Parts: sequence; C-alpha cells; structure tokens
Amino acid sequence: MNLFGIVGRSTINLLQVVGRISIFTYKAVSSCVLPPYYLKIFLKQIVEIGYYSLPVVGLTTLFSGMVLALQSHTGFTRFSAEGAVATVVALSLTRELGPVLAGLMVSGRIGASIAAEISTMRVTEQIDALKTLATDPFKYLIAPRIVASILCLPALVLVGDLIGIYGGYLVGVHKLGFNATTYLDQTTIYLQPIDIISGLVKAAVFGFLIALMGCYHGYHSGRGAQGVGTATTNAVVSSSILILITNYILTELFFV
Amino acid sequence: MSDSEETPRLRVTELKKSFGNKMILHNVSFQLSKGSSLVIIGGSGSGKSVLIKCISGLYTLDQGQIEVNGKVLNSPRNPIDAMQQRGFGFMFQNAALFDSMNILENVAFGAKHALKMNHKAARDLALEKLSLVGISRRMGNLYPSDVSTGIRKVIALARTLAIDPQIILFDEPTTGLDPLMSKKIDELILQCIRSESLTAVTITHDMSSAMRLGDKIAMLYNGTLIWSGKPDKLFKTDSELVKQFANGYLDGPFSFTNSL
Repeated sequence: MNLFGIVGRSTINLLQVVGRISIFTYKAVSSCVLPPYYLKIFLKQIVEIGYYSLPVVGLTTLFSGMVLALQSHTGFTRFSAEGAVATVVALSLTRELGPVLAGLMVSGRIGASIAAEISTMRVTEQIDALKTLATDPFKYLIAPRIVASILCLPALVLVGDLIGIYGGYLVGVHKLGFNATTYLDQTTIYLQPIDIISGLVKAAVFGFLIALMGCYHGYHSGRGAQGVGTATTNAVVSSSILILITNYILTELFFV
Repeated sequence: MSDSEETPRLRVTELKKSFGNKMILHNVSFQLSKGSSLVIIGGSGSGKSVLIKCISGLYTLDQGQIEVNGKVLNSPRNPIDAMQQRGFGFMFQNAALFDSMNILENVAFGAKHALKMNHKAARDLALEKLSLVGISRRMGNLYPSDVSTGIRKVIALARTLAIDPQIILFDEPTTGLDPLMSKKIDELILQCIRSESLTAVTITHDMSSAMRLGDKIAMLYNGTLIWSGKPDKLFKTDSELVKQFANGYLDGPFSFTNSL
C-alpha cells in the first residue's frame, strides 16, 4: 500500500467522522430546542447526572483542594510566599481544577452510562421500537440528557469549588497553622466574579460535550456486547480529550 | 400477487435496497387486501428483515414505491412520520420492550405518543390490550426482565395493537420459542388479525408457523421473491428451491452462502 493511499484513506475517514458528528450535533441541538419536550425524562436525568454525581465530584474536589494547599505551601515557603496559599487554592479551583476535574469524573460516570444505555437500546432494537411508536429518539433519548448535563455540570462545579476551597481551608488552618480568618480573607480578597463565571461556563460546555459524546457513540454503536463496550470506551475517551482541548480554548478566550 | 379487485391495503412495487455495493432486495413487488395475511419465508441473509424494515420506513428505499390504501408513501422519508401516516405496527423479533418501563407502561407508551392519549386513557387501553392477549392486570407491574421470552413477545403484540394499526409487520414472531409457545403466539396473532380485520406481513423461517399464519406464502431468495401461493401449494410446487427449503432438505440447489 503506498503512502498516498494511506494518507488519503485516513483523511477521508477523518472527514467522515467529523461529518457524522456534525450532523448528529445539529440534530441533537435542534431536538433540544424544538418541541415536544419530555419533562419526566429530563427530571430523571437531572437526578441521575446531578444528584448521583455529587459524591464523586465532592470527594475529588475536596482532596484536590487539600493537596493543592499542601503542595503550594511546600513550594511557596521556598520564596516566603506562604500567604498566597489560600488565593492559589481558590483561583486554581474555580478557574481550572473544579470544572476540569468535575468534567473528567462526570465523563467517566455519566458519559459511559449514557453510551452503554443507548447502545444497549440500539442493539436490542429499542431505538427502532421508539420510531415505530411514533417517537423521535433524538427528542426522547438525546435531548433530555444533553440539556440535563448542560445544567447539572455548572451546579456540580459550584458545589465542587466550595468543597475544594473548604478542603484547602482544613489543611491550611488545621495542618499548616494559618489563622482561620486570615485564610478566609485571603481566599476571597483576590477572587473576582470572572473566575467563578469562567469556571461555570466551562462546566456547561463540558456538560454538553459529555452528553453529546455519550449519545453519539451509543447511537452509532456496533452490534453485540463488543459494540456496547467499544461505544462506552469511545464515549469516555473522546469526551475526556475534548474537555482538555476545549478547556485550553476557553481559558484563552476568557483570560488572554 | 393480487388478492382482490378492490384497492389493496398495502402495495409494494419494485422495491430495491442495497447496502454499499451489496444489493439486498431486487424488484420486490406484492400487494395485500384488507384482512389478509402474507408470510414471507426465506433463509438467513435472504433479505427478509430488510424487506419489512423498508416497508415500515425504518430503512429508506433505494427504488420502488409503497402504497397504503392507494396512497403512495414518499421515499426517502422520516420513519416516525411514516409510521403515523401508514398506520403500521411493528412487532420485533426480540420483542424490543423498553427495559426501563414496566409492562403496563410499555403497552401504554404507543397509545400516549402515537395516539396522543392522556395518561388514564392510555393506561385503560393498555389494560384492554393486555387482557386481549391474556396477560393479567397483576402482571402489568412487572418489568420485561421479570418475564420469559414468550411472554415478552405476547406483551410486544399487545403494545403493537395498542397503536391501532391497519397493517402489522411481524419480524420472526416465533423464533426462539418452544413449539407450544410458538403455537400460542400464532393463535393470538391470528385472533387479532381476524377480530380487527388487520393486514399482516410476517417474516419467518419457521415452517409450522408460516403454514398457520399465512393466507399466502411467498419465498424470498437472495433478495428476490421467487415463489408465492396458497400454503397448500407450497409442498407441491415445481420450484426445487422452494421444495428444498420447505421440507428442510440439505441436498438441493439452495445456496447456503448467505447464511454462513
């Protein structure tokens, strides 16, 4: 096989995937906007994505905040800047760590679950059955998951930010010997609304990407158990990569 | 295959379908009147499932046309619109019940979404259809995973009937069932077809079921309808292919290439 053949085929395959995802995204977004709306399914997804992800996101951000306080203290003592620990914890969590860590954890939990559920429905012909019962699978299955994910991620990140900052506070005050009032002052004094808002916008975008990739890979899964497994893996890998790439782009848009 | 001089309930004309370079269906044509039942037999890979998915609108046609009550249904089309326009019901090979819903919700689903009934009316209709197929009200609270494959198919029949279809498409309704359950499902299907004057297209490779269900039987071989006629003519036909398939002989002209 010659080099041109390999490059050409790979390019065509890539363009086909991009084309399929673009068409899927267009149909998914249209389904989110246009009626009918399935409120019961949407509320179920809010509970599934928002409520049940809370322990995972909470634990992740709690320990991240604690580690961040410890590490920054270790580093900052080298040039006598210990006073910046609280500020660094707050800024890091609200701007970057909160949304990215929550996004990656929810991607593993929810992206995989959405892909597995939809691909199983595909394999067992339940998606075809929906069509035969005059129900659009995009409106019934995909739209509620995407909207719920877009709304839940910012809420999770907001709670995760608070828990993470509390984790930093616990380590700062009880282990590193900071004064509690000073630590809280240092946390809030340099924190601006844009730090929190940028994190929440990122979270909403990550929520969209997680649900979109879960739905896309589930909807286009192959046959059998292997198809379901591959769809689940692809959903988690693609949404995680997209989260990291989008995070850089959004950071540049917000802060550069 | 003409059933009467009146406008046929379903007419399929020169239907063609391929996937990539592989032609699956070649010029398939037939027509059925109200209340008649056609069974399409054929080996694995002969194109039976593709044919009824094309008729239902789940697959778009490459060529050909489908008429219901003399009205041509456009192609390509949205399958959901197609289902509503045509009054089709579809019973899937593996029942395809929704795992997340109990039996009553499964049967009421179509009534709610396809017929736009309110919750109570859809529930009442579901109970009526479940009773019609012999499922008790008590079982309505169970989930599909709690019942056997045979019962799941009976429930799928009730769900299909609940959308008040004119034409029902059955995708291998007795596959994977024991002989008694197969007979029971066939009887239920016949009872529903006769009581509601439904038109039915069934695909199967279960010859006992085909003989019970069909007013007419047709055989699909490599995507082409090669024979059609009354069930009593099936074993007397001159076609060696049909004779071999119907009798289950291993020796003969039937190619197993598509099945293997």
